[in-house]
Amino acid sequence: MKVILVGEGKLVYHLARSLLSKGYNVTIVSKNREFCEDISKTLKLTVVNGDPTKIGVLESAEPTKEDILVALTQRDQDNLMVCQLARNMFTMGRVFSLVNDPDNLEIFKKLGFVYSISTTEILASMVEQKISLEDIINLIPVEEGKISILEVDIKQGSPMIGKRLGEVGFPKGALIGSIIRQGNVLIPHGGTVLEEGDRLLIISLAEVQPEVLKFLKIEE
Amino acid sequence: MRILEKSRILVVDDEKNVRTMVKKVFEGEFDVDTASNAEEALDLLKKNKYDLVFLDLDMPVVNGIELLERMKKGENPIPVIMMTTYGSVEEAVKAMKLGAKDIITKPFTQEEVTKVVEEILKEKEDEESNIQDMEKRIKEALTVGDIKRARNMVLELFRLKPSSPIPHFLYSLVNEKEGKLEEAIKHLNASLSLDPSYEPAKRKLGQIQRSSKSSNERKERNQS
Amino acid sequence: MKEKTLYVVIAGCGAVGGRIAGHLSSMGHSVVVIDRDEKAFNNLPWEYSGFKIRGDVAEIENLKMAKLKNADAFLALTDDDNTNFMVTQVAKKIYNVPMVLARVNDPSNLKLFEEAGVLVVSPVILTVQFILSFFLGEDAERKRKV
Repeated sequence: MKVILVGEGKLVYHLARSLLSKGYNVTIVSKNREFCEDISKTLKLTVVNGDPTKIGVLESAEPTKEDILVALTQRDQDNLMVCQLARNMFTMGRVFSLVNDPDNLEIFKKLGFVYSISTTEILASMVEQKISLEDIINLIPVEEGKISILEVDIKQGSPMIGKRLGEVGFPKGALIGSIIRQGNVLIPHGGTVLEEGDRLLIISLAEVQPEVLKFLKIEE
Repeated sequence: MRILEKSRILVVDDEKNVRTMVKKVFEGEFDVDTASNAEEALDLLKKNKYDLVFLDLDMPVVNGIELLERMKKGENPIPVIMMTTYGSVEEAVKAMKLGAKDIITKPFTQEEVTKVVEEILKEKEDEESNIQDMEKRIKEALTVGDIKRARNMVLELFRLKPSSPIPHFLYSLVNEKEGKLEEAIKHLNASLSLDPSYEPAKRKLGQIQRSSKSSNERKERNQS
Repeated sequence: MKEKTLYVVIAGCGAVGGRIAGHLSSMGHSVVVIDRDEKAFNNLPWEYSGFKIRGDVAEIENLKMAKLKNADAFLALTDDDNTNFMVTQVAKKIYNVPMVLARVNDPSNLKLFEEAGVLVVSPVILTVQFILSFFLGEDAERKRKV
């Protein structure tokens, strides 16, 4: 399973970095040759240089049903075309798009691309609600790249079931923030016994996250 | 519905395609003149009498609103239809306040423009028959000596058509009936200043001046 | 009997768009053309009696300005397939314009447009068909001799 990012620029670069730190495989598709060359040198990912609105180019990114695609170009019509190709030609189930002109949100949603976001729209409504930047930082104490939050479900057959939290041996730097059990929120402590169906909220430093993910994979 | 015979329309817009379009729509039914700027428009307005003017709100150099203001200062006000581009609400409101009869947003279809012209010309027609009606009733009132009623109707007419020579003329008839000849002359002069070609006022003025002259002569003769 | 006049909005005032606009308006229809390049309007015939809107057709605001909701037909004739795709979708799905047509420059995109219920015209396919008609069929030889 991988994430395909379509587009170029700072946004694509930082999103790629962020996703890589979370353990995802990332492929970039971009028309911009320079960007493709630069990013392939600085980040460990697959790069396809070409017009993403052409089927042949998108095919080179080897999209599959399980993959996630995010369209991030500066032109809404290109993003729409990419989304359409991804869903109709490559049967991708999870397609996200950036929509530059908020007026275009309607057509994206009408065509079934529910996960379309217009940052212009978000910023505009923030300004309208007069939320100051400071308030935002306090509200979401997650500075991008420094701390990350993971949700993990304890599935049937997991070796963690029946064990006490303190016994499980989570990597250092990972904190179990809370456990959601049958709709109730529990504040865990070392003696909390894990049950099937528990949802753990794990807070960790970004540097530690790949370790946490690896640990969880082993524990499955 | 009866549209006035060969009404005359003026279209003022700097875009050739708009002038062509409106001209095409009314060609045959009406006489259509076009102007591409304010100067040309004012020129044509001096030479011809128009029943309706189409005016573009966003003409460069002299804005449509300015031209509208200039036109209002003239004599008999002509109904003006302002043409605006989609979304310019403030300008449109300004235009209406200045007395534009109606507003039509570009782009408009042939149906839209035909409809708005028909409505305005019909209104004009109704108004004119209304005024003729009122004139008749005022004269009737004066004939039977009901000066009070006549005066009230004239004042109503003043309200409806403040820049028309007709109310002043009719008021002079009221003055005449009351024996206030100096007042009558004042109003007749006012009437003629609004429209120097208004025959009824000219005739009445001449009449009053002749009769006062001859009554003065009689007075002099009697005294001597 | 006079035919009904239609309200037609055309996106793109290139060589094709300009001429179509001119023909439709002289046929008596109400036409609006949208193009972001002022010079493109030079493609309109001098007796054009429709309207012009200068703006990027990918900005929905310009389609609103053109009163697309009242249109009987919408023609997407820009030279960019992606733009033509997005605007025809808007015309069809949001404004319910009865007739929606797109110019499709890259034949590999044809299927996408057709599946979306848009009428298409493909300059490449038309040209290919025209040339092949000189080589195929019964009157092919006759044609070549002209």
